[in-house]
Amino acid sequence: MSQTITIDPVTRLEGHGKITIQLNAQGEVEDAHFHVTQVRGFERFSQGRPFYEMPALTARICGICPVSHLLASAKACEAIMSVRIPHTAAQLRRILNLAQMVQSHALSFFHLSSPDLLLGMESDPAYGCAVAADSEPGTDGAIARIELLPSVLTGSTAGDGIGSRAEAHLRRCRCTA
Amino acid sequence: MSKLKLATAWLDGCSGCHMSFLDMDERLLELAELVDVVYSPIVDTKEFPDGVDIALVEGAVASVDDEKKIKKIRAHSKMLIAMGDCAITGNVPSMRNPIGVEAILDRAYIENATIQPQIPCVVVPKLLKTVKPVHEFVKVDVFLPGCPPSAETFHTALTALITGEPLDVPALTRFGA
Repeated sequence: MSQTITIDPVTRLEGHGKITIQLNAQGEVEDAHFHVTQVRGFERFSQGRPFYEMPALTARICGICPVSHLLASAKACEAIMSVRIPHTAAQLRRILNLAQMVQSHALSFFHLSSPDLLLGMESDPAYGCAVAADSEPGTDGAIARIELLPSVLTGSTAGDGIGSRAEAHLRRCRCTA
Repeated sequence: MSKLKLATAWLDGCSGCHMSFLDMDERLLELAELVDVVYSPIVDTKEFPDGVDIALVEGAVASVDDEKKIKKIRAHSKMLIAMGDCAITGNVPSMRNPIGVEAILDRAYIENATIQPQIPCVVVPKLLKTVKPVHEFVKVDVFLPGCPPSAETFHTALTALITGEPLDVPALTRFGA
């Protein structure tokens, strides 16, 4: 019998989504879908509005990457007015954009990916977060976890890899329970 | 004193309020000493748990799923905070209200589509006719305006709510802040 596995919501993702995986009678993956569960209609409600509203408005398409949308719409505004910005302004925009990338990578690493790297894919979902509940009642799991993050980046923790660091970390949490 | 249970959720918004929440940076450590984050887009838990003390909700109510979620959140939370302008007024998501669902879907999925123009109708939630703020559906205990509220606002407000100190919201933030 065919079967559908649904992952809802997809967590630690930059956005709103569901995943469905369709299995065939042999239990093999036959198809998989990613469903975007949110639509607001910027494509439509922006039509007919004053062009100078667009940088502030389109920045609200995504609070995680607002700068990309803001800069793109600012460029569109300039095209409408047929103006060119000074070199310094273009450079400042570039800095703004690069700073956004640094921020986004930090978010992606520390809050979205690192729980998997630190705790492993098999860990209890309730604790799979940099600031989630303690690993065991009465421990400082969440705090220990955040404190451990920089050492994963720099490799300064004893051990020979992320896996062993995560194991050591989990042991420590359990010992203090 | 046992730790309070904190949950965060996003409905129809841009994730910007959550990003601002995470911008508390090292102050998240302080927060992790006072609360356990039991449910959030950055936690893997799929089901909203029982007995949540403080729930922060970002975004407006725009789909049948949002409506179900906000009712569940209310039923399982002692204190519900409408976080940011979308949750409080409908803000940007509600800009589609005078236009109507059909027109915005048509523009996004038919008119602008270069391949396979079709309106998604499977698995994705049905959109409500109009986007409404959270308090149109459930009782809200605290309104925290801002687009987004600043990290400073989150820190001051959450500290006050957790410790039971008085909270002066207008002194902290405003609409569009």
